[in-house]
Amino acid sequence: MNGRVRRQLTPYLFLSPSLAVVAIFGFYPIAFAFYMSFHHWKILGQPDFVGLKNFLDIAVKDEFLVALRNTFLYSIITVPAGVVLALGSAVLLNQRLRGRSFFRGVIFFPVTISMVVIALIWSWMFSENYGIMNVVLPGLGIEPRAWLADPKTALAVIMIMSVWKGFGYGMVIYLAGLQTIPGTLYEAARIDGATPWQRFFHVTLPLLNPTTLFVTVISFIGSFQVFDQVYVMTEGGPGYSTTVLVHYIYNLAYVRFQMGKACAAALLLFLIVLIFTLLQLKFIRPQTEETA
Amino acid sequence: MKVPTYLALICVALVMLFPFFYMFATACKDDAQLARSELLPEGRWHFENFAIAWQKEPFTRFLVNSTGVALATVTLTLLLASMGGFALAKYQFRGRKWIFVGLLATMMVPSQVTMIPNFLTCSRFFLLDSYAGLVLPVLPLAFGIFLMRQFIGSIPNTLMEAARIDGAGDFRIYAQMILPLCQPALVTLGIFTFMASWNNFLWPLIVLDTPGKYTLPVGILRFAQQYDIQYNYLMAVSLLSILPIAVLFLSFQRSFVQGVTVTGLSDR
Repeated sequence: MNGRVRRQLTPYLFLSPSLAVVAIFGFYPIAFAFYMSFHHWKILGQPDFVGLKNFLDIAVKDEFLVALRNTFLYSIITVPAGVVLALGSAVLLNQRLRGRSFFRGVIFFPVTISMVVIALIWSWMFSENYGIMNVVLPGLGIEPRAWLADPKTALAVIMIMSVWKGFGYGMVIYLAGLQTIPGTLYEAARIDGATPWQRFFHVTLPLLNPTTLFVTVISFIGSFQVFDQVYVMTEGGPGYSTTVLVHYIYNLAYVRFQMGKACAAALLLFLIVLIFTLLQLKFIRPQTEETA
Repeated sequence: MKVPTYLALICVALVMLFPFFYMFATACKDDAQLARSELLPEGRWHFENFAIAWQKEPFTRFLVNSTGVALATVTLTLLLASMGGFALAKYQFRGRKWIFVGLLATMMVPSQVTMIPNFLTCSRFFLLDSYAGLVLPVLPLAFGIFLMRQFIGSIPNTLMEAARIDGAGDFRIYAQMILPLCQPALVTLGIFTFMASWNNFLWPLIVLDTPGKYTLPVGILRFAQQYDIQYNYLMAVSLLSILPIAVLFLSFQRSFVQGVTVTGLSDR
């Protein structure tokens, strides 16, 4: 092999191990999921082509619709709550303060911890008989109850826990975004006599639009994929009150072994996330371009 | 402005720290103290619970499994991603653009879509219930290559050319020049990968069957699902399981933050 040929092969050699892994566990499964979603298959035997039947079957099932509704509810509450808390804490922690990195670390710490462990702690805090919440909350006039076994409160506890665990992630991104705002803008605003609130709403917030877009889209995508905490805290119950989409897919695939339907449901999930992401990009972007 | 800011921050910090503190206090209680639902154990703190709880299940085994899986995932990711990123950053070749776009595209598809086909692939190649099946399908290669490509792209070409004139081959340039220069990016990617692997739950839950192969999150959950679960022991074991990440976080807080800022793709 002469030098030139070897030189041309070199990049492919460097890439080949990665490409082999990505081909098997990245590209192929996407194609296969498409294929399977049009077939009926219970793992054993040959898959039968059924056209759009899987999608239609799922779309009319109450269970799917309930899972969709719960996921949506989870999403429209946890995403804005997380974004507001992330922005608020980032603005507070962008000032020169003693103990600033301590507070940043404390808020970010739960992001790095296993969701299983976090969900177990919260289950215990909210447990009916011995949990601390049924000791503390009655002092604030809230009746003790079986928080996670009550269809009225189970999803709410999961949502509060998830916001608590995750908003440090948004805060870190906002802190990076705040670094890009030139200090001279604040000085100009101050000379013009703007109050701190005016500076926040007329300087900080508009200039952070791209960051807000990013944090919102990423949180939204994450919120539609919620699973671990639901599986640990309630297993989708009581009834179907906390069943979310990924939990529904998990049950289809690994409890009922309906692989075709599970793939169809996963693709529907992907489609929903994709559509909402594109909508967010479309509606938030023009604003950011105006201000930039 | 200072006083209200501090008040707000202290409140937030208390809310963030309370569950961990409560986990610790619970871990140190005996049955009677648990049943009284007190915040702190009245009377003696039972620190021996940590040692007792650790023996309840083969948690040492789970710890070894989690560590092995995380280290293998990190090593493979760093090696393959730096090689791939190097090729994409420093060589002109046919298909370069398409390979890059293809890799990015796999990052957009949620893991739930690929999870089921990957499960079937693993079962066909006898990778279920094996460490290889735990590691290979979840290597964050697309993200890793993307990160390394960006970083290696900022290394001046003149350095490479000088090394080439001195007679260094491509592989030597990669191993002895590029890799050492990439250290900051490798640390960021390594910590991010370690954290993702250590905390991964859904994939090990699906792949694993034999209890002896459980990683910590799966082992802890199975322990928690027992009928007569004792919360003091569960909290003790949970607390011990997060120590490695906590230590890593305290020593490398900056890299954690960087890893998260550049990803936009955490939590998988």
